[in-house]
Amino acid sequence: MEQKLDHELVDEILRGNNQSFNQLVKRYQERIYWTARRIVNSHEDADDVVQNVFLKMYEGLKYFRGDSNLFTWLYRITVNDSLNLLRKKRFLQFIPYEEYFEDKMQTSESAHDKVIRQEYQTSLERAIEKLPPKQRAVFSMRYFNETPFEEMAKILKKSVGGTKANYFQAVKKISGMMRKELTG
Amino acid sequence: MKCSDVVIMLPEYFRGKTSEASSGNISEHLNTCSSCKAESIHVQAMVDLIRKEKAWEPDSFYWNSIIPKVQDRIEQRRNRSRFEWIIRFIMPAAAAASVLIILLTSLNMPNSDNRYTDNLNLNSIPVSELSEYYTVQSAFSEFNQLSLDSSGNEESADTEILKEIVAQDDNNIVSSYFDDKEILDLISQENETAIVAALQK
Repeated sequence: MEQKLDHELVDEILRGNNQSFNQLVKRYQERIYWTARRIVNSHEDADDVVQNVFLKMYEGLKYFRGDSNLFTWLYRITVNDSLNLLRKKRFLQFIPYEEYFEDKMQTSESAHDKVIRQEYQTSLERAIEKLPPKQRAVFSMRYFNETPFEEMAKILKKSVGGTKANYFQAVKKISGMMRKELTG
Repeated sequence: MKCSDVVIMLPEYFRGKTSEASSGNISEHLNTCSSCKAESIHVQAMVDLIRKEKAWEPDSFYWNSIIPKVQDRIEQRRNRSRFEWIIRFIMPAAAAASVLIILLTSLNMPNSDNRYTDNLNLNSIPVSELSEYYTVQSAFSEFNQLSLDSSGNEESADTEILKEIVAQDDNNIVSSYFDDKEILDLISQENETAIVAALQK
């Protein structure tokens, strides 16, 4: 069966067709998940971002201009949502550790899930976790999604030079940290 | 090529994603620049590690759970926005309407002070209105005043009502007049025991 184009599905959603919305979610869920996951570095947080992005897509479709690329729009929302989530988490770090930990345990992750997650956490994830949010975003956008610097600069509202500098710093830090882990 | 330009291209260079021309420039730079050469060793190690390392991947159960979760959240948002609409518009409108009704009602109500105390003539007031506006407390004071002004003909008394006044029964309203002069005199003296005794005769 021939796949419908994004703008055709958007038109159908705006006419009230819920199935078309589901089709769009299925089409982009993995790309959005991995973009978010590489920035926020956890499955639970990436899942939050994915749901937010599709909720925003649903609410924003009526304002979506058909001449622009739907995925570019979703990609921007994903990166910005992921960065916002990281900022919120940074804010939470000022809350005493026990309180934050208890809260996390009760609301999102069982002890069993936590053990499984830690087992799967790779050295790359650990290295990325240590980067400042913008460097994280720039690194994962560039490395995993091959996003052009110009596009990243637009998404992050930074200069192209600044974005390149962020990437430069991120590459140096990650390679340094991974080397340390590998040898030490 | 500047060192910073080379370093930011190194990950793509080691993944074979740079153009032929760029790849040539980068290898040429690495042969001549010792600091970039040193850096390139780490970057290459990083690229190799990332290639080998496989992050935990969610299974098909997770991918199939996204649509229901998103649909749930859309539904929740819809319900919430309905509720917010009620809070934002309907409740203030209802409150404003209630205030307006109370104001209009109070404007149309006769002022009991003017009507019943300034020119007190109980005989001119219909019993039904008296029962509407008089509480036992205000009735007591007006009956005192009545007896002071009394000429013996103007007032009338109803013993049942008087009983209620003496008993200070706030639930009852004056609905009639008194005609017993003796009792009216006792009221003016505020002699409750005597009033009760007189009523029991």
